[in-house]
Amino acid sequence: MNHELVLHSVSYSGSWGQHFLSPEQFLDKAAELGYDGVMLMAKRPHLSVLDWNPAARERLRSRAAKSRLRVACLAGYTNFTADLEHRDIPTREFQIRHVVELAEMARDLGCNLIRIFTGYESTAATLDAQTKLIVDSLRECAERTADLGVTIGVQNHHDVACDYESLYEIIQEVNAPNCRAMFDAWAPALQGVDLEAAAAKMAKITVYTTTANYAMRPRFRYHPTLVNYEKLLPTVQAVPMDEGFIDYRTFLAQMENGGFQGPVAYEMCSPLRGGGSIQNLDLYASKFLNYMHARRDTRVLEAVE
Amino acid sequence: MIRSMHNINRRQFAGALAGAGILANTKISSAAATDSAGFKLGVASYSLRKFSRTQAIEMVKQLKTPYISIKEFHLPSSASLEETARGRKEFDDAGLIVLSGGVISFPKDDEADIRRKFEYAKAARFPMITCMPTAKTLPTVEKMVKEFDIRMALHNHGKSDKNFPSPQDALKAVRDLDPRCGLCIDVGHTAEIGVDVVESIRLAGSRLFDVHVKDTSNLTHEETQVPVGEGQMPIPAIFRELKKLNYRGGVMLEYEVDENDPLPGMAKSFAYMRGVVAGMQA
Repeated sequence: MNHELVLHSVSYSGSWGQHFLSPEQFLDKAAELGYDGVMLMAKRPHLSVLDWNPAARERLRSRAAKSRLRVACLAGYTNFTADLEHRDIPTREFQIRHVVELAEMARDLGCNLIRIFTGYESTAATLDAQTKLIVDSLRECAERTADLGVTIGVQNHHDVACDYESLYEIIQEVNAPNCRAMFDAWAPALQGVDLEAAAAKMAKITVYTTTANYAMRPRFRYHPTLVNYEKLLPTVQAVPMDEGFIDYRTFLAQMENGGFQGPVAYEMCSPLRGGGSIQNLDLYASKFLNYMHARRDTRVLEAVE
Repeated sequence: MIRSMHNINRRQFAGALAGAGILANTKISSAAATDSAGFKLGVASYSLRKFSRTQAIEMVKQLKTPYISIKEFHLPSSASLEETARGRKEFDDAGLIVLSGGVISFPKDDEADIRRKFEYAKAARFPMITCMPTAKTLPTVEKMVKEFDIRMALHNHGKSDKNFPSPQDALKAVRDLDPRCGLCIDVGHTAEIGVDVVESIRLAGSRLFDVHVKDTSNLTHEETQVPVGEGQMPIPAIFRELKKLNYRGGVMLEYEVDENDPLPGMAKSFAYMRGVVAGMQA
């Protein structure tokens, strides 16, 4: 399967101590490394709708085209359950309007996909009510972006519907052809669910997946009075694609078996083992390409035989 | 810029590892080691010849593999047998799995010399040695294989090898020997003399005990080595053939370039090899 290989600009956004590149510099970097496309972080310091007017968007689009890069996805940031404590404020409307503006920016960049999130669970409403609110919001986003030729991709990240079965049901309930999943292995792997089963179920409704790999770091708290350690929730640290605990061999194979043909993106969106120097970011980004190119070469060979 | 990591202190060494994205971390990821679908992806320690034993052990661990083939640089054969045994224990204590030692040369038709090298291998507890005998010394090497019960894998060395340049030459030599005698196919040295690597693996069959993996931008020039996946070597086809053979030996990265700072290239090589494995049908 010859997936389009995409680099997410969040990796070089200066977050988590990582080296900062401007969007223009990032495009050059992605091209230099050999990526097919880019995913652009649609907020400051990268691609905020407040800062990028149509002329600036056109310049960026030309620059990407010159480097033979496709803008594969705009990474939007939403939280449809935000501020439920203050229902007099139309927070959901703000966000739907923002999604429409993201879709307009995507269109201007020659891109047909925007990534959005569901919502972080709030104590100000029941879970059922929050789920309904998210379904309604996604449906309205899909309706309002359809005319722009843009698909909204729901990434399994925020609390609500972060389990794959709930996400599947939400997307079925929205029931819009331009509302699809951007299903990643990261959340189900951390949740300890059967990655193979998750991928098999989600493949048909997934248009794009973003990868990263991690090593588990156990945590303990020492209690002097007990002369012992209390076991805490482990943290995770980003490591190269081929070195972490997430079984991408299984995940990608199952996604493909289920019909997934979309882009596979790589992101470095947390502190990396080895730090955030440009050299380390480039090494991680190169290793992803090595891994995926090798995987593709092998699949092609097996298909021929 | 290549930064020399030779003769640097431990703190500088850890910093250099971090700079390569490979921060010191004492635990080998079992995930990376086991998601290789039965392949034992490892390191031929010749790749780390500019580094001390301690540094080499740490570097192999950073590559998230437990498998190593130990070259003399990291366990000198000139040391006493007691020192050799102590040195070997350092690999065990670090959680590494020693698949073999070598490449060990047997140029002298002198049983005492060959015996001494097998005694070294025994003290080092090598389950197998990769070696370069001559046609003349091979019978004595076989005799020692039987006596010491240590397997041997005859390593073909391409253009510079007057005895067994190709795996086929080596196969002819070991075919009728004790079943503990087999081949270590060096893919770089095989390709450099125009021999088909994949076909060589197929022909070796059950006599294939070890593989030295590398890649070159020009197959007939072994000195044009690049990280695995960036050259002309048919790496996916090599792994495919190994899978067909149900091969259970080591697939050892022998990264001979960037000798002062090999980790970035080795890490890229491992990513490619793991990608190949990821692309194989279960």
